[in-house]
Amino acid sequence: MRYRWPAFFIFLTLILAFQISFLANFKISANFNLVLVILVLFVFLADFKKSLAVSLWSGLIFDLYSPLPFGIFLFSFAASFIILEFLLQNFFTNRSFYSLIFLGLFGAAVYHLIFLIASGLIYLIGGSEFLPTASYWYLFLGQIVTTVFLLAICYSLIDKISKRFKPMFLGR
Amino acid sequence: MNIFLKRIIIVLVIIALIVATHYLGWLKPAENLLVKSLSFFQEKTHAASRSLKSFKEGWLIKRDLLKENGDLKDQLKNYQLDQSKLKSLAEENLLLKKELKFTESSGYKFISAKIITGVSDPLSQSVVINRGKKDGVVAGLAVVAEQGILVGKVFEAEDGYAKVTLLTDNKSKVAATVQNLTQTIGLVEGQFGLGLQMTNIPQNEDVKEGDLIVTSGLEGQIPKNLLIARVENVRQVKSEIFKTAILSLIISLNNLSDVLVIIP
Repeated sequence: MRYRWPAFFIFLTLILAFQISFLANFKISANFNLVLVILVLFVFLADFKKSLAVSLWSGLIFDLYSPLPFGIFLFSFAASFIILEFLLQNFFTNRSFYSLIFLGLFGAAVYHLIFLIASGLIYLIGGSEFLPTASYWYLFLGQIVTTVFLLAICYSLIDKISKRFKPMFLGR
Repeated sequence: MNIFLKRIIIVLVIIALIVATHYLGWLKPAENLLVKSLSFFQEKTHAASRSLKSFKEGWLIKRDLLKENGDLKDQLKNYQLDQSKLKSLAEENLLLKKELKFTESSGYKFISAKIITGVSDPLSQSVVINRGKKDGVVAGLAVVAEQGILVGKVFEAEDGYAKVTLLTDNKSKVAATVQNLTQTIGLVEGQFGLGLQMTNIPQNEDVKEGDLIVTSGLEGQIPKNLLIARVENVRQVKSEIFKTAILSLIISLNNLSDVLVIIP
């Protein structure tokens, strides 16, 4: 159990690398944002510190390989995490299938909106050349759909092997 | 202070710290180490994505090529059909030109006819033409092809069509002359569809290979000097009164399509 958390971070890092160097290369697979799925699952299942660590680590790695100014992904992931946490604390308080689905839906939408706002602001002050094109909007919609789809699969799998999704109120 | 607000402030501070340390360059060693340690895995996954991409492109190219190949094959088929039609039209055109030239120069009266079909008797070398009594065709008239080469005789005429015996039919007999110095006369007979021979040639006549055989004009309805065949060789038996010349046809009678009937 001591090595569980470092092992998970290595696994997360490999997932991030896979997302950057493999999935992002294809039009279809770019719609699968595995990191977003993991983040939503963490917000849903883990505590604040662990979820925050996942969001910051994901943002950091994405920023390392991004042509955009450093910090955009870091901010986007962290801000999405905060909003998801807020939604979970105040609205989706039970661990139902629908909660997870709505959280995924909001998570993907919020992440992209924050990313667009952040990169737009940086663009306005002349810090980057990023402007969303038509393909970005397709990616935006695609990632919302695939995130929800992957979360539904994850929910079914976790529900079969664990009792974590059984009805209960969060006692945070 | 609200715990949630506190958390937001903590997160923002952490982000600001990370960004600041990045731009100050303090994070560089850690970033380099991270990138370096991930490079092996990323190299492999990127290579895999590249090969997958090239496979996909190759597959797309192959699919396009197969489609193009199919289209080109269809086009080729159409062109072949067009070419075949064109060839047959060109042949027909050439034939008609030759016939026209012959009809203009010979001064005969002709009826142009198309061969409709062969006859039902497989042993007979005969054809049916699309002209008959209504057009002035009667039995015994000469039927020629191309530049006036005799191909047969009308043996039966009906109102709208007529039957023509080709020269190679064993019933076919035409009075002929060899185009030599002595204008040797004889009888050209069919050989059961296999060829022609000229019989009744007197032994003393000088007939040699390559001589042309034309109609003699002794038959009332067949004009004189219509080309029939060429002498291939001469069969001579000294004890017999006549000798026989084996003839070769000038044109093949197997694929005739348009003919002319000569009206005397």
